[in-house]
Amino acid sequence: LSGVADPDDLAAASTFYRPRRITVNMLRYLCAGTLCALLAPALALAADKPIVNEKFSDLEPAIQMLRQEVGKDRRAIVKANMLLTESEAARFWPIYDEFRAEMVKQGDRRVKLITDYAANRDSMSEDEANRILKDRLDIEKEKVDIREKYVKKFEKELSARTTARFFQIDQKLDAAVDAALAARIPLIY
Amino acid sequence: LSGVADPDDLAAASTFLYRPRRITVNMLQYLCAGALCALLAPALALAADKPIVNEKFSDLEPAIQMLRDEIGKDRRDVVKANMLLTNSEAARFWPVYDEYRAEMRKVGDRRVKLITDYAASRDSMSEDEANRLLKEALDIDKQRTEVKEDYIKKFEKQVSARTTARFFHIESKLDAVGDAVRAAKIPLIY
Repeated sequence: LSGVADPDDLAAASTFYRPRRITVNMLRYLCAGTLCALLAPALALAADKPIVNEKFSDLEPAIQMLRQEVGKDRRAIVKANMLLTESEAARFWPIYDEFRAEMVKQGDRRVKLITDYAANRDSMSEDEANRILKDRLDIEKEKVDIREKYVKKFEKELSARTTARFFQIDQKLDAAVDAALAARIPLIY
Repeated sequence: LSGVADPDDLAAASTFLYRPRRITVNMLQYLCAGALCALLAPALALAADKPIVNEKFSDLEPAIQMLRDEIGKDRRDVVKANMLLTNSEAARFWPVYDEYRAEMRKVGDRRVKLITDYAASRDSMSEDEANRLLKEALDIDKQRTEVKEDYIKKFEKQVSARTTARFFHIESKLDAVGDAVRAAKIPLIY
């Protein structure tokens, strides 16, 4: 893994400015999570629908635990940066948890995609290359769709500015994860 | 700008991993400079009739224009070094690539406008403006994906699905770095 960005470098990408600055070290968890996802993740939320390539199914419990950890840290960062009043908080957090639950489902697809890619990279067929590429873009689209849906939900409960601030924080966290993934996933042969 | 990631840290994020075909990339410095400039005060009008930068920053238009051209060239070099196409593949690949990047530049124009609008109104943003900017940000992400979908088909007509996948993989690495730089440099709304 030489030449790979250190997780701490990437943590810098989520530094938030004054006011309300916070130093973030959850990115270490995120990076560990993505690395694990690449090397051999596994996770089956419901037993009937495996979300990891079968080649890596022995690592399922580890990735499951890591993702839960990341989710908690992510929530803590949002909390520290939103600085909501009590009355705002009472309206914000139920929607936040619903939003993240959808995003975790979306993350399942991504885990599957990455492990499928890792399992096939050395000998990928034309069909598989095309399927994986399309799936990737589909996942991107789905992410935007979920965001659009939740912009409306948040704006019913909070001001547009508070909503915008939340999605900005969420986007910063995603950007850090995406950069970590980009650095760690090798190109197709 | 204390606490901001050094461009060199982020450059590491685009290091293309693993043999074969590894390359060290330093174009990210340009990307970083570009993103910073875009935040501080960018401007660019491709056609005179449609300004793509907030009027508050229009004096910096030529500088941002130059930077974007520079980044485009470097980006092309990174792709070239990592695709390792045969002559015959190259003859089919590059015309589609240049068409594709021209489309992406239009997406980039929207982003420059968004960022400068945000910078211009961040201190005193109305509810309507906050809502408009957030929707525009999501719309731009969507458009980027749509352009990619369009061009997967065009590339696959000219080169193999694996070569196409490799190209979009490189693209997404470069985009991820650009996104991370912007995320690090653009401050939160008050």
